[in-house]
Amino acid sequence: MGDTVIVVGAGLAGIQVSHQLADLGLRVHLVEKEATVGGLSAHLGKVFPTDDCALCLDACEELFSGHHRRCQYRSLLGTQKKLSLHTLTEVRSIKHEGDKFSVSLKTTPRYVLLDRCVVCLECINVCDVEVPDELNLGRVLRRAVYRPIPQGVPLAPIIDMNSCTKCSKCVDVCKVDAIDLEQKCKTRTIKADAVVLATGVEESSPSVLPGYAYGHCEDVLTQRELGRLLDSAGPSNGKALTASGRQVGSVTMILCAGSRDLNAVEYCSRACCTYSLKHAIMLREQGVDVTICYMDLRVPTHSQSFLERARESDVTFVRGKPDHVVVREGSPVTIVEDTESQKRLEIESDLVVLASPLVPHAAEREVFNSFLDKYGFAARHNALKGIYACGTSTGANDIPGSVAEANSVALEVYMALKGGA
Amino acid sequence: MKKLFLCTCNGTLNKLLDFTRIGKEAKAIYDVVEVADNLCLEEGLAELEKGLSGDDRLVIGACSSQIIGVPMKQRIKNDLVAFVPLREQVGWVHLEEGESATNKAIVLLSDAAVQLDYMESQAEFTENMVGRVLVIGGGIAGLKAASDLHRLGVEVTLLEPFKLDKHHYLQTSVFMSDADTLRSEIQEIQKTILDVERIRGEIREVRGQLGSYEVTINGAKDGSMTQEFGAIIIASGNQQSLPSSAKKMRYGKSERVVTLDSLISNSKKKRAKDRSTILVAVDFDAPMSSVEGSHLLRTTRDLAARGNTIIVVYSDIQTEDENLYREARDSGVIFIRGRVTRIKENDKGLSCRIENTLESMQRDVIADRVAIPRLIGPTIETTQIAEKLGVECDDSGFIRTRYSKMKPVQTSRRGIFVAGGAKMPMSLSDAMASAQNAVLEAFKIVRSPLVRSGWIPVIDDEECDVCKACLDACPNDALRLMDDRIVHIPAHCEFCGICVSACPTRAIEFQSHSKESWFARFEAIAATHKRLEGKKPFSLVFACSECANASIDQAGFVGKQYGTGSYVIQFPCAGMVSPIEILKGLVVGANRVIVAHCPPGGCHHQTGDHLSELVVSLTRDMLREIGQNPDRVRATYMMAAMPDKMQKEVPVRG
Ligand SMILES: Cc1cc2nc3c(=O)[nH]c(=O)nc-3n(C[C@H](O)[C@H](O)[C@H](O)COP(=O)(O)OP(=O)(O)OC[C@H]3O[C@@H](n4cnc5c(N)ncnc54)[C@H](O)[C@@H]3O)c2cc1C
Ligand code: SF4
Ligand code: SF4
Ligand code: SF4
Ligand code: SF4
Repeated sequence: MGDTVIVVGAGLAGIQVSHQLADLGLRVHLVEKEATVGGLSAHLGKVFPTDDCALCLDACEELFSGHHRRCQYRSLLGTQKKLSLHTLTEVRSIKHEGDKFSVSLKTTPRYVLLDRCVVCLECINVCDVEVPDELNLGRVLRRAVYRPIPQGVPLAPIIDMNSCTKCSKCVDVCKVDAIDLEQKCKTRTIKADAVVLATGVEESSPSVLPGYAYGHCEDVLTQRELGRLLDSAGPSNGKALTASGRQVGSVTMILCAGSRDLNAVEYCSRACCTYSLKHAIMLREQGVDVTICYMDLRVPTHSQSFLERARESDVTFVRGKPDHVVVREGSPVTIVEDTESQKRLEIESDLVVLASPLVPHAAEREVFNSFLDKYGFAARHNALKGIYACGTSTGANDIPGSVAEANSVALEVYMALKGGA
Repeated sequence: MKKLFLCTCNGTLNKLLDFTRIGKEAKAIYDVVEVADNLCLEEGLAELEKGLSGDDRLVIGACSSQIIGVPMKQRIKNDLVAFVPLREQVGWVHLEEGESATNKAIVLLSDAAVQLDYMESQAEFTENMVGRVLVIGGGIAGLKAASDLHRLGVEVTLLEPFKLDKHHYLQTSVFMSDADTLRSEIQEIQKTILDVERIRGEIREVRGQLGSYEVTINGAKDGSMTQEFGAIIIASGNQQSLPSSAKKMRYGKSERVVTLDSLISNSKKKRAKDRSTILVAVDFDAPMSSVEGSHLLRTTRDLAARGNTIIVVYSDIQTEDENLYREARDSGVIFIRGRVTRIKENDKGLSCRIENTLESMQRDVIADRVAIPRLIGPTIETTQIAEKLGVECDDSGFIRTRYSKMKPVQTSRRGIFVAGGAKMPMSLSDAMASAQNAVLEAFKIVRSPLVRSGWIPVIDDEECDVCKACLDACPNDALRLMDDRIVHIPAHCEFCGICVSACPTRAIEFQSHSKESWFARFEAIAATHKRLEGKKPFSLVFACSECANASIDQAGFVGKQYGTGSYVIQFPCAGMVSPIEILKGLVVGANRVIVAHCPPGGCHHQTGDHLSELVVSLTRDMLREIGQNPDRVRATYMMAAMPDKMQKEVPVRG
């Protein structure tokens, strides 16, 4: 048996499985479609259950012996011998050949050369083009050459060709010749002995639930968007502001906004209750009133303290799933029947925040179709031997669950390739 | 020779910082000063390599050591190197203050020069690991762990409880999955461990540390035996017990009040007559885990399918499988939110009063039976095992893991892991995954020798009172008592320096970070600051090399500006800081000393966050007592997710 593994998706699960496999001596190619690694974690700021950075990961042992929990920028991901990181890269096809897989990859240009860029940021300073930064709710501007996330790995900027005018100012200012505006797509094929899907999830767009006024009212957000506002490196330096820039005084959260719903997403997204509580606590610290409308509070054992803290900090809990959100004088009003008092409530607030379902990324790509169930999730081991999955690509989950699953899949892959299975 | 290599970072840093002045100042303290434009690129590294000879001591003034450190060390052989992060911690955070920023750079470079004077080479230490792993079984995860280790070719001993009958694993795991899956899984694994050494008994004593735990076991048959293990996996499972509310539900007083599990047990006697009304009273105050929830749903679904009327009175239903919830409802289970407050027995059955949480609404339900779901808790054995092994438990008696987000099986002691239900209630698939996690960690330990390199603490036997404070404080079992002396075992050391601050007589000094070195560095900083900035106040920030330093780097990455009179000094861990360094900082003239550590519970060395808070509060007390302002000393946590922390601690003006 050979020892080459392709891991698709460099979220926390993909990184974890890659580091473990590389430490065990296997050859790993980590393929990420975005310009930087981290997946969801790169957007989250602080996370439960430890109330510290989402960007934290177990770095490889080759470079850091002993305790090696490190920030992504300190992990030197991809510089160790056994691990190659391919960003802006997608899997085009997976062909089964004997007991190997022939995986074809396509890399789109970054226009900034990773082996040349020293991350001086001068190109960003000289770029004249300014466009809304989609990652930060469009509330701040970014340049055409930009860093999607300041501490995102690789640290080098990327050029957004849709807005770039090819004025070449950045090329001129970059004395190390790290910019190539004519860079082309590259394809390559790798023969692998195993493929691990770690393609993760994303928040589904709430516009499929028209009742909640998302898209009609700018002050109806998703939890991920609220998370950006509350991140101290985010668009408002951690302050909860309305779309018009006013300090928020009250927030209503709607849990299961599309999850556990036969008309939308049938399953429970598992992490949303707890991250909603996390955000509620952060809002209370800013003096914001918070009401949470919920069906069941599903808080894993390791994070019960978040529920206690939310209760202690006087978050109001309403048991009931809101029917709809109406917009009155520009502000969202949540209509909900409290199933305990059986009263119909109309809750006015500055912001309404929806816990949108977490839906699988893999479902968007045809190449993975044959490995997915009806929801678009993959099994930990596929019926086809040699195809594995971990993290949220196997079902919505939180970070501890995703990381633990990544470790166990690493062991399975190792045993399958190196004996023991 | 002492050499300084500065980098302009593609010709950008020299726009803000006056490199000519920096170079001139540096020439007074360094033998050689070189300036490059791209030290981290191939051509820069090659240039650097050319300019060095083997015994040079070197300061790199460039980007964060976190970024340039490893590539640099892979390239050059010199091991006496200090880094000054001129980019992240000067250039990018003092954009408006070119002159002061230049001064700050000079101060930091003078500090680095002194640092080199005290720097020693790092030695490498190796220790062989015992190849055998002990799995303390009793739960299904233990079977899985033993099986996987065996298949990996690792020698393994599976220790099982004295009382272990044929049905043990099935009975203790009923709540984990549906019975058929569970049964077949157990049968499968049992087949794979036929060759594994299995003994019945209990742990009497454990000595040693990671790589060579010496375990004495009281066996059932052959008395006691002692054996060495490289790693230990605790997989002693959990147990079900009645909630404290059971009594109030008349459990034990009325025959009609039973446990939920007894209703599905196969014994005819206990089994409820079909078509009866069963009220399931979930303990309102105990948080339900999703395993307990799923088990509740499976059971009530099956009971309802047999034609019973099932009413579940509950607070929140947890489950990892939404379909179970639907199936239960579809088969007729009625869910009522609230708590059962009173049960009265009459000839018709049990009259149960249900109150919803708002207390305003009540209703009475007549039931033939009241069923109480049992709760999952740790076994007494688990708590005892933890005590013998010296690992921490949480408040309810489950084994505590080191860092809940990312270290799923690591206990508070290195080389000891927890798998399955001994950590918390787990579903079958989670328990299996957790066993695999533990196997992976144990495997990585026993398969190769432990190799560490770093600066180590050195113990002065003359000064040492053998009070054992350091030994208790060391999070890694790297200090031991041998022949009435404290002995340091470097291969186990994580180089945190916690032992240094723990020692009441300062009999321990860290290589390269001795008291003298700190004093000399602070004095250099203060003197240079005074020369360049006159009376302008300054702060010293004692930052741990992990989260706190990362937060300060991140301030640079996102451009959070802060005041220039702020000198960051990296400590391996904030737990190394003692009142001596803090007071010295004040004595040399710092206006404030800030000790920055990892977020609560997030210390990479387990206890440094907590210890540094203690040290600071002690120092503040001392200051108060001598009539000084205690607010000149502060402890705080910092992390990469809070790049604004430096800004809050060191405002731009002030
Ligand atoms: C708003 C919000 C808050 C949260 N807060 C918390 C919290 O506080 N604590 C907690 O524990 N969890 C939290 N979570 C959940 C947590 O984010 C996830 O459990 C975790 O990030 C999942 O990691 P992952 O690696 O499985 O997936 P992801 O992070 O989604 O990573 C998947 C990666 O795969 C890449 N990818 C996808 N498709 C392809 C493809 N075709 N080719 C190549 N690459 C691909 C993606 O770009 C991405 O980088 C939160 C989630 C959300 C939405
Ligand atoms: S591309 Fe060039 S100018 Fe831009 S950050 Fe990289 S090195 Fe600097
Ligand atoms: S985790 Fe909570 S909010 Fe999310 S779908 Fe499940 S029950 Fe709803
Ligand atoms: S430096 Fe840390 S790990 Fe090493 S002996 Fe001291 S306390 Fe223990
Ligand atoms: S190591 Fe880095 S990412 Fe991890 S908690 Fe510390 S600062 Fe955050």
